[in-house]
Amino acid sequence: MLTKRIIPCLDIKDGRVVKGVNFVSLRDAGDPVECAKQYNMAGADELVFLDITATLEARDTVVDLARRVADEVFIPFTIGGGIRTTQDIRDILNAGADKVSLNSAAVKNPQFVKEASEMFGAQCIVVAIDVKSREDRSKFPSGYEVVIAGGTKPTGIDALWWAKEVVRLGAGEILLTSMDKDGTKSGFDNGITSLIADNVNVPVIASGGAGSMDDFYDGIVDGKADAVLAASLFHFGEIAISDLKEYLSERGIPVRKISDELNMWAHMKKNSDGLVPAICQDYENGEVLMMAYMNYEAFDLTCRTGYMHYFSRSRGTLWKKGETSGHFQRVVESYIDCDNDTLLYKIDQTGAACHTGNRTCFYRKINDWKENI
Amino acid sequence: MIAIIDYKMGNLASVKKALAALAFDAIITSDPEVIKNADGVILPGVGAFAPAMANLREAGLIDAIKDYAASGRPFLGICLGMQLLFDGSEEGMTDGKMVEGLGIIPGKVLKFPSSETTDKGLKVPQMGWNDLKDVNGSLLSEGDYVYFVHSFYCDPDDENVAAAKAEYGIRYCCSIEKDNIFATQFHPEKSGEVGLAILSKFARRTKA
Repeated sequence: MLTKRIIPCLDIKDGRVVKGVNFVSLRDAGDPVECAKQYNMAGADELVFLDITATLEARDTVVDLARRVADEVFIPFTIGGGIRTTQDIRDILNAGADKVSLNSAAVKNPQFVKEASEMFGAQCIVVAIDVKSREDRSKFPSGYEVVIAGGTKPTGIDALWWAKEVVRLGAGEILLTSMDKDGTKSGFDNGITSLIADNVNVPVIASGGAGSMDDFYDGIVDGKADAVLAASLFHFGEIAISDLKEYLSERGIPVRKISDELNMWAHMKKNSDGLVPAICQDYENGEVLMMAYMNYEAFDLTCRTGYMHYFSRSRGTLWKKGETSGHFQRVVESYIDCDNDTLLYKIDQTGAACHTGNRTCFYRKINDWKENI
Repeated sequence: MIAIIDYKMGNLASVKKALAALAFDAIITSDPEVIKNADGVILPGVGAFAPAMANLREAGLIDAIKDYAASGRPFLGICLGMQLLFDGSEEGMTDGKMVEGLGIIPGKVLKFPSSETTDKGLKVPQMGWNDLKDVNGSLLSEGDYVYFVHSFYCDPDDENVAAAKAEYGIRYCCSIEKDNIFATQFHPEKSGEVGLAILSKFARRTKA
């Protein structure tokens, strides 16, 4: 079943995350790539980067941002903020972003949406619509007006009309932000969200106002949102994405579950190659037999099959120990060290652990070895 | 070396980057000779069926792909690259005549029926994470969530080639595996660790 998406939004200025992301395990809270990796591991379904650098020179930093994120994070991500030309879009998509989000440029020139959609496909064109509620129904039949420039500039355009119009022009998704609700932590504006969601045949992302897990539930059920977005609530750790997903799932909302294996892997510290060392010890006499590295796949397979699997980055190979030699390693017990960066497996070793035929890889005393260097 | 076929249909960098993260070399190419000599070939693609076939034809890649697929070496089609393997597609159909595909896998590409999707409040394209059901393929695991963006789905003549199904209004074939031919309607390069594991399993076959 298609799941509802949970999307953290990162505000970017001059290539850095504004205000930072408050994760304990983060080396650099202002580095967008570090933050993106953490969110990926935490179970975010998608990411949105909103560039709030106002200058034109910032374009290069945005393209560079897309490239760096795409190098290391393999979930969909959107880049928005200040995109004005089809060349901007091409550069950002070619750098590895999946979608771009258009906001004021769409209001100023609606044909830009059409042009972009025809050129790159509707699936990568998100139109961001910022709205404020209005009393005057004769001017704004939906009760909401489209605003731009962070809510400071009214446009005179009705929100529902505009949503239908951008979809007609080729928008593949709508990112709807209530400027009245944004920052209030009082819940999404579910009235306008459901009104738009009911009237367009593209996904609607609800944004602005989430303060509690209930608010996300309401945004999906009452607001009929296909996806829900929040920023500081996630950044400051007030709500963990895994807890939110658990909460929503218990209440019958379909969400993408992260397996136990992936969740454990997410909480381990990897070396610079993204690997974790695993030490093997004889389960009976405690003899240390070998050390090798695991990637996620090797760890996952070891957990699921009960036999040791390793990964060699230099050879690009994942292997099940014993597959060719018959010297299998059955896992008896598994441990993790105090700072979550090394695994220890107590195993039942068939034959020799070392490729030399020795029972253990550590069969040489360093003083003997030194003589033969 | 794995060849990623460039036929001007969407972003190919993500597939290459995912392979690089797994320590596999890949080259983005539209050269039939490179494809002919590759250890593995990936046909990605985002966009419409008819222009995709036109681009393949124009680049002289149709025979290269068919020959490679028949060579027994590992082949992976992703998204539109899965659909193109079939005989024809309803997408861009004129006068009731399907747009012709590569014809490597017998079957058709159909539009999600509105009676089961849009009429019931499901939006088309399907966009987001869905879980794999009825898994019967060597690269996939039952229940894993993967990322989809598509309006059309593949309907193979031979049920046995279906490597997995997904549910979106209907239960449809979202991956195939037939000998050396693998294909996924979803994007493994955008499906997080689960997707990387799928690509890794495929890429290792190219070294066998």
